[in-house]
Amino acid sequence: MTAVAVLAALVGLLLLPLLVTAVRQRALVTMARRNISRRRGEAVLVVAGALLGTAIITSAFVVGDVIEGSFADAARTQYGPVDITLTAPAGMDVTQITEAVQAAGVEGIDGLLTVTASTGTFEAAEQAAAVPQVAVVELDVAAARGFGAHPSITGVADSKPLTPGSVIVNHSTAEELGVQAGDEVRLHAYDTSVALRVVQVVPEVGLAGYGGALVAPGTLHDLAAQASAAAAPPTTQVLVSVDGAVFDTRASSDGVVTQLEAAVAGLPGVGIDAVKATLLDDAESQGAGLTQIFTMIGSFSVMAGILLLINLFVMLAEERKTELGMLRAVGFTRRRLTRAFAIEASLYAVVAAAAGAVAGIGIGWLVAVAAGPLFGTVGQGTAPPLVIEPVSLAIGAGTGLVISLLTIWATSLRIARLNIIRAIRDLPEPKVSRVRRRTLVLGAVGILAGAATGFAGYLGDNATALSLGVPVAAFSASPLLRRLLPERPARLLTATTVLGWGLAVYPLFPGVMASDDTMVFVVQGVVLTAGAVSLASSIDRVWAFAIDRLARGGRGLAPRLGIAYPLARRFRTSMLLGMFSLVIFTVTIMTVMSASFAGNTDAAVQRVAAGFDVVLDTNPANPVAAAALTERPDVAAVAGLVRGTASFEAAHLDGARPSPVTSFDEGLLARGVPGLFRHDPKYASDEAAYQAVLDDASLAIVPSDFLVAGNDDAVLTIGDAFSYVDPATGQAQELTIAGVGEVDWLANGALVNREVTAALFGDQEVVDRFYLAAAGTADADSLAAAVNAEFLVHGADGRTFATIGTAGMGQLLGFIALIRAFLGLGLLVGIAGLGVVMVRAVRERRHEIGMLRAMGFRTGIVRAAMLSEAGLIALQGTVIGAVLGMITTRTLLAGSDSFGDVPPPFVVPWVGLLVILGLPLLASLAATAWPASRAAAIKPAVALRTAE
Amino acid sequence: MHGHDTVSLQPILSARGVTKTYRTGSREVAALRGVDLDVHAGELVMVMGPSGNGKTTLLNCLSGLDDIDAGTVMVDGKDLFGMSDAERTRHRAQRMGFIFQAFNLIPVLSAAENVELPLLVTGVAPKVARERSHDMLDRVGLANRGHHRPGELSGGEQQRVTVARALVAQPALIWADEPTGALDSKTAGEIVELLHEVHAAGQTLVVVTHDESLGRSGQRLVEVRDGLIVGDQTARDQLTAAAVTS
Repeated sequence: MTAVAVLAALVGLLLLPLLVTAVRQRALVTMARRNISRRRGEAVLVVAGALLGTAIITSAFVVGDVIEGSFADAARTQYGPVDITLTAPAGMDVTQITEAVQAAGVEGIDGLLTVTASTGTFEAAEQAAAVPQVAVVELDVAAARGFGAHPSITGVADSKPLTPGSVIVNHSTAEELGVQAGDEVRLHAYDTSVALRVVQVVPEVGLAGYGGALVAPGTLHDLAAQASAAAAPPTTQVLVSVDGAVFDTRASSDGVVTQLEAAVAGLPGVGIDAVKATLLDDAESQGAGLTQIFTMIGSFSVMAGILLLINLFVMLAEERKTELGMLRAVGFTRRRLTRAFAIEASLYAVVAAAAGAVAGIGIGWLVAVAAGPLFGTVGQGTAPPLVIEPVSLAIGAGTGLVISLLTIWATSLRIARLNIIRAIRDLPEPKVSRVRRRTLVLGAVGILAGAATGFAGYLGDNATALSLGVPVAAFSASPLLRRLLPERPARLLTATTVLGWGLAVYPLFPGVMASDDTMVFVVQGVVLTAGAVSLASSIDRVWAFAIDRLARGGRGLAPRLGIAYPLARRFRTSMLLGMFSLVIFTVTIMTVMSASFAGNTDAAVQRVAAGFDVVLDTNPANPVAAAALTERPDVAAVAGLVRGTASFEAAHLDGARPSPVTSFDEGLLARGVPGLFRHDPKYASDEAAYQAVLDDASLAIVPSDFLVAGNDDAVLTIGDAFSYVDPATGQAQELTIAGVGEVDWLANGALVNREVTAALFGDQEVVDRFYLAAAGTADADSLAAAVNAEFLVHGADGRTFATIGTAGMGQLLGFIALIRAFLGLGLLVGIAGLGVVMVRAVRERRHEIGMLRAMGFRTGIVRAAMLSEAGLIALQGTVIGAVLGMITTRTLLAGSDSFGDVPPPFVVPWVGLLVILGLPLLASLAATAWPASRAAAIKPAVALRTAE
Repeated sequence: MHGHDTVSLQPILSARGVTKTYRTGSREVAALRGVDLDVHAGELVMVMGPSGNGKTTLLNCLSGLDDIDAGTVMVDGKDLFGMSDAERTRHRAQRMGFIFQAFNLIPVLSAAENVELPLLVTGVAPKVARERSHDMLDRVGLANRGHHRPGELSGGEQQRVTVARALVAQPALIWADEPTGALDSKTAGEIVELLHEVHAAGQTLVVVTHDESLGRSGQRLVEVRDGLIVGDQTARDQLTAAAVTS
């Protein structure tokens, strides 16, 4: 809300003077209105250009909203009325918990429900299908219907009480098994099985999502009675429903948890989990994280949009120069003149902001639809719920409007300096030979500010400030340099300093620049592009020479004419070049990063696998005995792991966050060591770090993305501590990080000593995950298939490391592809911008084109000249962006903290990159084709006769 | 009276029954209503008349810059409107030069670059074009201003550049539309002087003007009113005199 208030204040501040002027001087509004209606096509182009920025910002927020909505929807499908779970420790009668809660008179709850839960393997023999691990819940359906605010949210409102031998399955389980009501299925658990008749298939909602299969009370207990000691017994839980419907219980959840903690204080070992609050918080965090990513990526496109906007308004002002000069001549004050222009431009801006917000909803929705399957929020081809927060629209439209209005005010100030005679006679502004004192003073202030920013960045390890310092100082020094040096060397010096700094800052200050702050990436892109574009526009002689060479022998008249305008209109060209370069820069980085990550997959898989081939997960309620695996002739080695989920606290977190945790033994290190990004220097090697964890229950090895979700930017590193609560004692136990490994594709979470999982899971501690090494010539895929078939009743779900790695990488690459597609919007800005600018250029040069045609220039030459102009700008922008993008990617891969001591290889996908960069180039030419044809079709007599 | 006193008997331009009507919405304006005009090589034809009576339209139509509704325009014995647009454009490049009131120089090119354009478009090698451009600028008194852009030149200098540009490809016919209209009287006088020098060197010129002094200084005066040529009295005398002399 603060952001909305700030934006509203800014919009008010920027619009109010114009509104006051408009009310007082109606003539200005009439002029603005008539100018717009006189040039409707132009007005549409300006609005189209201006709305792109708003659309991009809004869409970034809409993506966040929709993804958050998708994640949050799990509160409806997986929990319904369930807000908090109270899990009884081994041996405790769950009625003690119910009684304790009731006795305490906990306020703010509208239901308690006792359930027993476990995991089982379902097999449908007739359908020849099986689901290895399904959450099975023993449910008293009659009691469940009355649990929570309304029966409809329980998912079993229309269900009849379950009898022994019957089961209710949700749509998801039924679909996987291919069963319907009346079919028979078999539930395998605890070394035994039971035949069950499907009595109902229900939607995955509420309790029917909490368990994929609902069975009659006693079913699991009867199975568990025959279990071997290795199996995790069923858990008994009291489910608590907080007052309110599905989504409006978050605010009161924390208060209820506090009351429940007090209520069960006398019952040691009771686990309290605010499951729905955690899910909603994670959803919010994921949504915010995505908004942040897309806003950051979108910022390049938005910056391109700003440059386009500046160009559009500068051209609009140029076009009106004579008219504005006349207004000054007839007595308009400078202030009145700027207001006259700003009123018209702000009308465009307001319409563009509204239209951009609407367009942003559409774009955001499309991105979210594509992103859904990547995040597992919805299936392929399924649309997520369209959730749009009004505040998102307000921020998107408000930001776009503020950017447009600021640009308008800046352009208006330029107009205020208009020389009346030169404007009326449409003469160019003379070159300023002497820099004004005021400019020098401002320059000096800029130099000091830049130096201070850079120095502060260096001292405070702030990469953004360090990156920005020198460029700010260098650009600020330009006026001073122009006093000391001729203009061209002064410009060259500034440009090369900025570009050089942008390229050298990473190697010079690796410690400071290794930050993972995404803002650094944006700033770095801007610094490099600004330097390169300044340099490109300063070496006009080189371009002119190149074209002169090209024009030898009578060829190249069109490019010669085409380059004349960009070289002469340096400011305008720089804006266009910057626009193109910025977006191409980011697209290149994404493309090369993607290829580099993909090229690193095999190596990463090998590092993680440490000599094993298959990861086998089994049903904790019916695990495979390690000996059964070891005995197999196709298995060379087995490492058993205990895996579960626990809540952890860390300094950067607001509260406890659930995460997987896995304990291991010597077997994991038998065939190699899972590679780490880095280990604590006090250990000689990665192996020594693992050995230390085996020897010390206060140590852990964590993946690089451990306890990071959504927009959290704190990442735990070597020596940092995090903690868990020992259920038996209620005491917090600290774990210190001894090593940091790859991103957690395997969902192992923190790797810890067995003592830790024993303390955390008690009788639920079961070795249910195995790493298998294929023996001799056995192949990993065959081994996975063989163990899955043999141990089906144990819920065997074996996959090769390569499959898991490829899937994990596929998700990452899919996300990068999505970001690249989002960046396509920026390219659209560039392409459309070039087209719009060329349309306006045709109008602006009507007389000149008419004269060329009168002199005998064929339509083809006029068309080719316009195309050459756009093509040269697009080509320059593409080359600048691509080269800088590749250099930056190389630097990022080598220097970022994210990859530790094992950076991925630098892989340039030349063919793909050429296609990706070539398409916008062709699209730019296509966008210019229409204005170019329009220029060529100009009748010389008409062009020379009329002003427009 | 300035100028070249002998003209060819065979016209290089012959217009017959040329009509041109402009349509603005439902309104029609007959700009030319059946114009006949012959221009002979070496002539300096001044076209005069009140504003809005068809002088510029006459220039545009007879030079092929604009289409006509009826009639014929023969240039060098070729029907200008029997040609395709591309042929007419090529013909214009090779045979005609233009001078306009608003100069219409390309602002982002230097004076020399502007002048060489008509040569480059006809395929003259860039080096040769640049040399001839400088020669022509020298001829119009702008030898040292070749590297300046139009914005850096005075109005008179810009019009000299346009004269140089019109002359550089040695066209058969130069069309000038109000060449002194945007200039002060002193500068206008200099440009008139320059045009007479050009004519004296054998160049054929058709100059549209409403400037009395410029109009009267020509060899032949054509008067246009309401889309018709209402006066062409001196031309016949000149031709007759020339025939008698020969």
